[in-house]
Amino acid sequence: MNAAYFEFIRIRFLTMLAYRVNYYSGIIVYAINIGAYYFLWKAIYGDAGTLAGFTVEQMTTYVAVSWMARAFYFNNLDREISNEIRDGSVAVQMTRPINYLMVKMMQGFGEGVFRLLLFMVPGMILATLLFHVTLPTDPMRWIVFFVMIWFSFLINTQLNILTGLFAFFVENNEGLMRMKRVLVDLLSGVVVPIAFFPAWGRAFMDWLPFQAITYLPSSVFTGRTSDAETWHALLIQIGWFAVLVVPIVLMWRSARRRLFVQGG
Amino acid sequence: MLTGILVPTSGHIKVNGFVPHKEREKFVQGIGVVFGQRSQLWWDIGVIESFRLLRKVYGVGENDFKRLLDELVETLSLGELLNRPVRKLSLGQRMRCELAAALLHNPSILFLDEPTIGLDIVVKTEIREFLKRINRERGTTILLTTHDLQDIEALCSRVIMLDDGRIIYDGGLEELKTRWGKGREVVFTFGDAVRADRLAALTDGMDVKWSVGDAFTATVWIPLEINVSEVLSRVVGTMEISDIKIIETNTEEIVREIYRTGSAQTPEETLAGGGPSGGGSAGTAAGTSADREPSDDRPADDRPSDKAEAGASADSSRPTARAEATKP
Repeated sequence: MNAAYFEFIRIRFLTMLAYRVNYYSGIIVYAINIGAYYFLWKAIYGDAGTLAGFTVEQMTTYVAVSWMARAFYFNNLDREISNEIRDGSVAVQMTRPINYLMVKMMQGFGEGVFRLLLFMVPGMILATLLFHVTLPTDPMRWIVFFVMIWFSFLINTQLNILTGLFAFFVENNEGLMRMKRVLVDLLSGVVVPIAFFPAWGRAFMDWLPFQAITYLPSSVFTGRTSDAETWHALLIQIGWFAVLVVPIVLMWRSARRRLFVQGG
Repeated sequence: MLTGILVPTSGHIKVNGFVPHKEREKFVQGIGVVFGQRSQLWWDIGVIESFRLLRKVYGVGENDFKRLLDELVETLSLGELLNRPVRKLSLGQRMRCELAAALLHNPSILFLDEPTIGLDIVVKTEIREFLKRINRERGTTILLTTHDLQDIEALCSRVIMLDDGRIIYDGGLEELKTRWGKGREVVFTFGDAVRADRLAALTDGMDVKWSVGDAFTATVWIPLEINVSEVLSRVVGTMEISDIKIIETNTEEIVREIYRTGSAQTPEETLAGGGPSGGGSAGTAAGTSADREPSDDRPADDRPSDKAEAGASADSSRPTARAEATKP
């Protein structure tokens, strides 16, 4: 049984590998993105030493790390799920003795591992060579970071699953998926670190799951948090992961009741 | 609904000893499902990779898997397809792989949703032969929905016809034919030109209908009560004949007739026009819209498991539309 789920990770990984040419270009796109933000922030900083508690170096590292973390947690499960619901192939999956959402999650993980190895690692090396990215030397921080981006992956995937499952309830959830993507990029801190938001914005963000996706792990990794804060950040992630399980289960239950197959 | 995908809005359902939607993961271990219109194989990976994945999904032992796979590869001649990615298979090749995939865990019930749709005649025949064989050898119960009545004629011992969620026929195929079939047709090709009144005179006193094609051919319609040989003897004795064809009542005609008369609610113009005006969503064995198919909750475990069965058509106005569409 569990072997089956592992198999889904492996096969997704191999599938991604089969289409790897797509991803060579992806590495360049990510490098360009990091570069653009790097120069943008440099211009914003001007002569200022620190902004919102970030030094220029920390900011550069933050940008690079955020994008690389994004490479790992990002996936298109929302689109996959909603497509499978709309074309009815979700029905095929339901005739198998496996949990559909678990399978999806595993496939997303296979994709994440692929990007981590063939995308994040070379991209990070490239970014370190090109820009002033300073990576921490403390192994503990690396370990914590990987634990945290694992939770980033889980939380982001949960949001994707929720968005995707909306296809059961509305004919077309395209707009919803786009909105979710923009929200995640903006509010998770990929585009602008949460520390740059006004105070009310930060307070508001504390109540949303998005910062747990990028901002918290990247902050920890760039060394902006004390040990206590680090554990606190991890706890927030775990909390959100647990909380998000509830709507998914509820939604999946009611979706089973209203499963109808569009177009056949 | 029978496969556990849909949750019924009312009624009871029990298949193979399970309530499908409640004990889904346990229940689906014992069934195989093939949808003619969508693939259950993974599009991007090799066929054999899909099979291996399914082995793990169903927890089939390595040895059982090998034995079953070898057998399936041989009977469905999949040998050279195994290492190809699914996206590079033709529809017929893919369907053979789908069948194999659905049988790898040796299910006791096989659900087929229009398994021969869009296939050429050779592949259709192969698939029918294969289905008959696994039904015979493994005792797998086969439940299929189809709009291709030749499938039914070739495979089924029990036919269930659904119309708008109601069962309008449930019984054997032969019974269906004798109860609903009204007669046979004989097509003559004559050596000399014939005239209609001459032919009518030959069968004077019999309740048959002649229709003349061109000068040399004519068709006679003989109701069931009259023996075909009787008609033949009258004609053959007096005319010079170069060819005779006897056409049994077409199952398609019968089914069309049943849908026309058996369901008062179905408007005739829908049947004749072939437009799917009433049925929005299409049918699996149980029909896909849960609220429209309350009568399908029949218990499945009272069926003898060595019988092949068929729900002839699942949806209200579509079946005849499809039947007509299959005739060029």
